[in-house]
Amino acid sequence: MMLALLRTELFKIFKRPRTFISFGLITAVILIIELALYVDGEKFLAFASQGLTAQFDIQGNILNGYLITFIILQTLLIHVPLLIALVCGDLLAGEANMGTLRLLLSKPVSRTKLVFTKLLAGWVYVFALLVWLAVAGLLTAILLFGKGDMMVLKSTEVVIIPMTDVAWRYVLAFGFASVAMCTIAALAMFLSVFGENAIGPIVTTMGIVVVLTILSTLEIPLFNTIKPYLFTTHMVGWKGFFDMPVNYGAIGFSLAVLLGYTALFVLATIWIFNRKDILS
Amino acid sequence: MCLPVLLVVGQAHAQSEEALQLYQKLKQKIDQVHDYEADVSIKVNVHFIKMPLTPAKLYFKYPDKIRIVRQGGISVLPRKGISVTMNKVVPESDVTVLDAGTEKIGDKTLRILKVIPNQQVEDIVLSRIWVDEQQMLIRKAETTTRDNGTYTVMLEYGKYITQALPDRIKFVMDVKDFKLPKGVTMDYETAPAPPPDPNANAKRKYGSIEIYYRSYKVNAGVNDAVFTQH
Amino acid sequence: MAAEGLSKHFGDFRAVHDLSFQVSRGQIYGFLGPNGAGKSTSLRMLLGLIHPSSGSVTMLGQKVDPRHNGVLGKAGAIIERPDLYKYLSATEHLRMFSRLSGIKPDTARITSLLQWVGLQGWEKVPVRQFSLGMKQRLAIALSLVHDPEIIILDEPTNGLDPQGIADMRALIRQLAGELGKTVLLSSHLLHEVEQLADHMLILSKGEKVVEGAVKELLDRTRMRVEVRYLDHAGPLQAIAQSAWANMVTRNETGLVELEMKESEIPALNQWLVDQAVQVFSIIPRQSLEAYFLSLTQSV
Repeated sequence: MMLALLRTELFKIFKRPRTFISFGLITAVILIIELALYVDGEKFLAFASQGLTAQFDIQGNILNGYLITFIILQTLLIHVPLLIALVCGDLLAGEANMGTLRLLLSKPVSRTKLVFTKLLAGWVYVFALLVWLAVAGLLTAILLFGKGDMMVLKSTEVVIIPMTDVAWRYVLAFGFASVAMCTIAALAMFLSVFGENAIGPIVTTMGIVVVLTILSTLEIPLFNTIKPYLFTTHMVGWKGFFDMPVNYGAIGFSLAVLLGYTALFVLATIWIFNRKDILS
Repeated sequence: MCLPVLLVVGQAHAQSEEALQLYQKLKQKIDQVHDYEADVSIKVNVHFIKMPLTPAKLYFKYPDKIRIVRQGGISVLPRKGISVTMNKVVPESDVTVLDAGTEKIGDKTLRILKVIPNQQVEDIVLSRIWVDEQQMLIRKAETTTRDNGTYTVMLEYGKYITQALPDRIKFVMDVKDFKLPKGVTMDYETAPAPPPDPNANAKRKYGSIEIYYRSYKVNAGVNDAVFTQH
Repeated sequence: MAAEGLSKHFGDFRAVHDLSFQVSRGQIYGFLGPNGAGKSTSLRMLLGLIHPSSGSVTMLGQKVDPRHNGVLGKAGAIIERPDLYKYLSATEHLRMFSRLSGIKPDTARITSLLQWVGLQGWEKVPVRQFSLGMKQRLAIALSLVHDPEIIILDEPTNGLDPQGIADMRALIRQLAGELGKTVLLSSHLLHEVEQLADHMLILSKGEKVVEGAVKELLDRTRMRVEVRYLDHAGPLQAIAQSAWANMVTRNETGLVELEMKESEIPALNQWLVDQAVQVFSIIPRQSLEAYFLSLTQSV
C-alpha cells in the first residue's frame, strides 16, 4: 500500500505544471548567473579578491566552472527553499483547498502513511530538483568557463582546492544540500497541516527561512547564543566540504541538527494530522 | 691625524673592492645559466590561505623572462615586484656593493653584501645578500622595495649547487589580514569566533611562499612563445 | 453499518448529539435533514474523517475512526460536492483510486464504469473541463471503482439536470436492487429520500427526530384531508362542535382541511354523511414534506 500511495503522490506532484516551473526557474537562475559572470565575472572577482591580489600574484583560471557552480549553489540559501515550499506547502493544504483530502481519506489510507508518503514524494521532488541544479549548473558552468582549481573566498580566509580534488566534494555537498532541503520540505509540510490553502504554509515557510537566515548571519552577540540551534545556521553545512581540511565533525553535527529538525517536523505533522478533523 | 683617516678610508675602499669582486664572481656564476625549465612545487604558508602543495612548471630565460605554468590550476606567487629568481636581486646594471660584515647562519659564516642599484631595477631600493664565499652561493637575501615593502628570501641548494640553482627558495613577506563581509560570503562557521584581539592590528604578520625545485633542464633552450602564450 | 451514541461538539456548538442508527445489508437508508442539521458531520464521522466527541461507528463489524479505517476498502463515498483533481483525467482518477483502494487498476472495468455513469468519450479529458454534473458522475464512478459493499452518497443529485437526476436515481436503485449494495443516501430533498429509501432517519439540529421504515413513517404521517362540500354554513358549525374540531387546520365555507391519520378517513366520511353534508370531494394529501417540516420546526 505504501508503494501504491507513493506512486500516487509522485504522480500528482509531477503531473502539475507548477512542479516543472520550478525546474525551469532553476535553469533560468543558473543561466542568468552564468551570463552575468561571463560578462562581468572578472570585475566581480577582482573586487572580491582585492584583499588577496594586493598582496600576491594570483595566476591561473580562477573564474572556472567549479567556482561558478559554487556561486550558483549560494542560491540554495533563498531561492531553492522557495521552490520547495511551493510544492511541499501544498501537499496537505492544497488537497484541503481542492476538497480532495476527504476523498483521499475516505479510502483505507492510514493518516500516518499518507503523511509519510507525501513527505517521501516531496523529498523525491527535492532530490530531483537538486540533481537538476547539480547537472545543469555544473555542466553548463564547466562548458562555459572550463575547469580549474577552485578558489573559495570566505570572510577571513581563502581556500584553493586543486581541480582533481573537487568532484567528490561536490557530490558530498549536493548530498548534504539535499538533506538541508528535505528539512525545508518537512517544515513546509508541517505548516501545510494547519492550512486549508497552500498560500499560508508557503509564505510562512519562506518567512521562517528568511528571518532565521538573517539571525544566522548577523554578527550580533545576542543572536550568537541561539545560532547553533537554528537549522538555517546548519543549512550552509555543504560549504564545509570546500575547506581544507574538511571538518567532518562539524558537518556531522550540522547533519544531525538538520535530521533532528526534520524528525521533529515529521512527528509533529503526524501527531497533528492524526488528531485533525477533516472539515474541508 | 690624517693617517688613521687615510688608513680607515683605505681599508674601506679595499673592502668595497673586495665586496664588488665577490659580487661580480657571484654574478658570473649565476649568469652561467641562460635558461631553464624546472618542475616545481609551490607551498603557501600564509595564515589566511589554505592551499596544498601545488605542482607547476617554472620557465626562465636570461635576462629576466620568467613564467610559472599550472595547467588550469591556480598559483599563488609573491606579488609583482618580488623577484622569483636571483637575477633581479643580483642585477646586471650599475650597482654599488658594500661589505656589511658577516653573519653566522647555521654552521656557515656568510658574508653580507649591500647592493644598491645605481639605476632603477624594478622598484628595488636596496638588497642585502648573504653570500657563502666558499661555494659562491647566495644563501639569503633581504630586499627592500619602493612600493612593496621588504621581503626576505632563503635559499637551499642540492643537486644543482654547481650552477647556483636552488632546491628550495622561501620568500618571507609582510601580510595583512584578508577580510570580506560575512553577509556576502555566508560562511559556514564550525566554531565560535574567537574574541577580537585588541593588539591584532599592531602585530605584524608574516607569511611565506616556498618554491621547491624538483628538477631542472638547464640551458636546453626555452622558446620565447612560452612567456607569451596564455 | 451502525452508529452508537455518536456526538460531535465544536467548542460549545453541538453539531451532532447522541446519534444512533443501524443500516442493514442491502438497504437504501435515507439520511434526511435540512441544511445544517448535521448530516455531513455525521457522514464524516462514519468515514473516520472527523473524530467523534463520543460514540462509535462500526462498518461490516469493524470499528471505524481516523486511526482505524481499514474497512473503508469495502466502502465508497461521495461527501458533499465532488471535488476532484482538476489536472487529472477521469481515467487517471479511477486508476489512482483503484490503487488507493488496494486493487490493481483494471482498464476494462474502468472503461465500463465510465460508460455506466455516462462519461464515455471523456476518459482522457482533464477534470477542469468537466461540468458539475460530469464531476458528480465521475465521483460516483470513483466510489464504485473498487466494487464496495457499502456506498455512502451525500447529496448525489446536486448539480444534475432532470435527466441526470433520473439517471442517478435509477443507478442508486440498481446498486441496491441488482447489485445488492448497501446504500446510505443523505439529502435535504425529501422527495428523493421518499422515492429511493427503504429506511430513513430525520436529523434536525444535530439530533435524530425520527427513524424507521419509510412506509411506516408514511403510515404514521399525519395526512392533510381536504373536504369540499356544498357551500353553506352548516358543516362549518357542525365540525367546530364535533370531535374532529381539534384536527381542523383550515375551516372555510365550502372547504375544510383536517390533519388526521389515513385510517381515520372512513370515520370522517361516515360522520359527514350522518351530518347530511353534501360532499363534493375528500382528498387526502400524503405528505412526508409536511411531516418533515412539522417535525423539524417543532424541535
